[in-house]
Amino acid sequence: MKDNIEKILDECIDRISNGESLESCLASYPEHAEELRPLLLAVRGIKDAELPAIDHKAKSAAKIRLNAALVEKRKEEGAMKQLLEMFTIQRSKVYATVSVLLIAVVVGVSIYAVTGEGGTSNPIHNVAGTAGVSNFMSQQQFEDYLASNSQQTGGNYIDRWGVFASASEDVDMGGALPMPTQAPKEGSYTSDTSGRVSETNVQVIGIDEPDIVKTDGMNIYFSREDYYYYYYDYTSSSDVMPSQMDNGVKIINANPPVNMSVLSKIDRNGNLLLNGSTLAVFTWDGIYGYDVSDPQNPVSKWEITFDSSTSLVAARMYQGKIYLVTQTYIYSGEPMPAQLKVNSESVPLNYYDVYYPILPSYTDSTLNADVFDMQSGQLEDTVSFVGSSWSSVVYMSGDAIYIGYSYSEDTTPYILAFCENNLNGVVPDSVVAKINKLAEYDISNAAKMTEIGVIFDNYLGSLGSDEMMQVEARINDALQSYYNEHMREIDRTRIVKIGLDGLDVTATGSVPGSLLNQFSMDEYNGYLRLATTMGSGFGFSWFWVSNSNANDIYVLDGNLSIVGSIQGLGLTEQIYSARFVGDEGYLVTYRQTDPFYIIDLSNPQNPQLKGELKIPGYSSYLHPMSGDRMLGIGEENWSVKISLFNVADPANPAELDHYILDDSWSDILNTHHAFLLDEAHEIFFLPGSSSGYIFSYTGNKLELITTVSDIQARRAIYIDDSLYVIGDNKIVVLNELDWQVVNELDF
Amino acid sequence: MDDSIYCGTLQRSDSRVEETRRNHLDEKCDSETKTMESVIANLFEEYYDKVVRYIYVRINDQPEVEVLAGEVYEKALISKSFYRGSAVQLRFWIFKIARNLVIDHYRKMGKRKTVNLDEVEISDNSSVEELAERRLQIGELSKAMKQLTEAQQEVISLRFFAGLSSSETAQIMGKSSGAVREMQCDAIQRLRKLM
Repeated sequence: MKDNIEKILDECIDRISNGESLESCLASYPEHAEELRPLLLAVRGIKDAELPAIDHKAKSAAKIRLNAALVEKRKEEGAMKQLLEMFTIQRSKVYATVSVLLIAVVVGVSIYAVTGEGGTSNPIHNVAGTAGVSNFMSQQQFEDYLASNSQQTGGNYIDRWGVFASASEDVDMGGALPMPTQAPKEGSYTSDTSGRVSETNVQVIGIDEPDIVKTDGMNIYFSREDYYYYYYDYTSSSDVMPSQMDNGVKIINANPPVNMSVLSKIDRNGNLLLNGSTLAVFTWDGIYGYDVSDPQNPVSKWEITFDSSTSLVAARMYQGKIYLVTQTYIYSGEPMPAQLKVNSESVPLNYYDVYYPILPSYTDSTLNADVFDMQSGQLEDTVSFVGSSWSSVVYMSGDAIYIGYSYSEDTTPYILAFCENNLNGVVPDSVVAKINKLAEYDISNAAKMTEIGVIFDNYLGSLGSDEMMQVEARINDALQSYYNEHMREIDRTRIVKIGLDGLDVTATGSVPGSLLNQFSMDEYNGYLRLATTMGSGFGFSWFWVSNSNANDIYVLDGNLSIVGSIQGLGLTEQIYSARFVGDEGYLVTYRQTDPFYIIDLSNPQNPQLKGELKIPGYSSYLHPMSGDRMLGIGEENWSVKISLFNVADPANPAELDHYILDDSWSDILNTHHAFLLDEAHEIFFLPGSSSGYIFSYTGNKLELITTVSDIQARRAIYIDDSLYVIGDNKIVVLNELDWQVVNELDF
Repeated sequence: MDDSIYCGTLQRSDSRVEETRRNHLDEKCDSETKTMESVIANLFEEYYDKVVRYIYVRINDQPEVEVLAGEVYEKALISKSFYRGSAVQLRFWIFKIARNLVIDHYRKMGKRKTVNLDEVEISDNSSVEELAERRLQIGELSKAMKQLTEAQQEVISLRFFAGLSSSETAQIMGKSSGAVREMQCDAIQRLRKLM
């Protein structure tokens, strides 16, 4: 009864909020009207309570701050040009008067101020190789660590700029391939109800990655993807958007193709993993497990939900377990590692499971790895470490999860060293002397950076405008050469290795540069090979230099100490794709042309650049194929380009063929999951901006065999000799022997 | 903003690949604004006032409220999950973040801060009568709210001032919908007597 009233009241609150009258609500529940009326009057009273008018000045200020933060964000995402433009604007402001806008910019940015590395008297240190870790004993210790680690932080927005990097992993970014590293395969997750069934294109065979399509050879599970944009309908007050109308995971009976039909729908949306009869749906707020043994009636089995500050970084499935990497943003008042809930029960925290680097470092979140049993949804083990939310890249082998994240050494010691050693003759000795004196003060690095800014503002402000520009240009030149020399110390990626056996942090290490995506890491014979790009930028006060990209290859041993490297590949270019296959590494960098590099990694201590090929355009995904061939998918002149390389002779890579598609987009540029190779028929599939394309590579000739149009193609799978092209609202099945359409299903 | 559909993309843009993707999406969406900036800017226009009011009910300190409201959006910017959402989810996230900031605020303050109602800033376009009436209402409500449990206050502010549904409120608070409805009912009964 009480429960009933609560429900009715709840409903009436919604109805009144949507503009219905109190009386019409009461009319729906005449039997409760007497009890309801006073409550609804109170509801109306609360709703009508007039709150203060919005202060428009505060609102505009917030907007300016937000815009500044957006610019900052863009910048962090590597939009260099934009960064420089913004910089110019800031400069003109500071030499004018101190405007409100400028203050807003500084405030907005300082909100993101980074926890600097500690140690004021510490000279430049280069943490190479292994850095130690320790674990916490209690919540108190965890909080103390965060507090002491942030002591160096002031309103020093410059620090922030040291942190941005050009790489990040999306859950749906990543990649993989048949031949390379293969994890030992025990738990089979492909049912043998039919002969040949394709699997999601993953990085390591046997380690599945969540994607929008899964199949067991009988049924297709498909969740339409609508990440990329959303609609907001301004004409209706309703929050229901067109793109959301038809969401959900569709379970489609697919075998035999002539009987194709939609069996059922699960009312959630997201990437999928399938293990036997358990389907996991990765939504924006958690993971939901369903028993799909009766595909017409999927039954909810378990759920793992994230708290509000936690988000998914990556997930894998291996031997019936889900490995989950999440990050939890640390709110200062409530520092907590991830709080997951399994079936609505909070998972108790154990601070012994939370590690932190012994050297203080940039910290804004905890990164967490968890292993769940796919069948039961039970949490089996968990480990967390204090890290940064920027640019996390996750790679998993059969032995370990490797999490790489960008961090920046505190730039203050570098800037002080630069001012002390590199500005002689550029600025007057008195300016250098002031900075040297400042360096000795026992104040935080953040405060020193502010003071340096003031010293330069005063000095430059005292010059005439012509002279000021000349001095600025000289300082920038000096800074550029200093940065070129030190960028490997400044731009860093920390790697944390979590052994799957016991799910514990087994090693940490650090390398220069940042990682592009999961393919930038690969474990082979106990060594971890990495491809990194550096040159994201560096600066202080109003000076900023960047754009001197360089790319390195590093080989790390089991303790994540660097044992071998090649430095300085593709100067001024960025890595667009990387792939490691056994003893070989393949790297594509790009600026105007596409140097395709082959690296010999057979001696981990002495990796060698073997061969190089320059062709127009670039490949953003590399797929190794049998017969010493590599397929590259990328772009040239804003059209999708496919290249087939012969890599049999590492010293002389050659392009066997290429094809420029009359289409400007393929989702393979975004995720390797969109690619499908069927070696039995020597074909591959790629989705275009709407059509699906099927290519043959027989005889090393790239040939477009057939195009499936009007489908909004997303993925393709094969079952036996049938190729299913799956689009947003339709599946088209082709017979792979003659490429005739066998059946179509609209949904 | 008059007609129909607004289309936005929230993906990062750090390379030619992203540029290509954006071009591609631009072709697919015919409306003119599709950048992260415009999505966030629209969220700002859409919800800023609501966010301010929601936080105001919890904190009653207008300058602080406005600082926090701005921070909500800045936090939203750096939350990865945020970008994966649909419009409904984005609204939800906005208030989730707002709620965390309010909790954060209280922890920093150590205790609840009260505000002298005479000091509440008054917007200059209100008449004296309106002022008198509004002041009374805020006064009543905020005084009455303080008599509720912390959780009840949260339910009331999320339901009535953030405008979330009871199931969204339940999700944010980590309670069941039933528990939220129960707290809501108790809170309203209590408030009715107090007001």
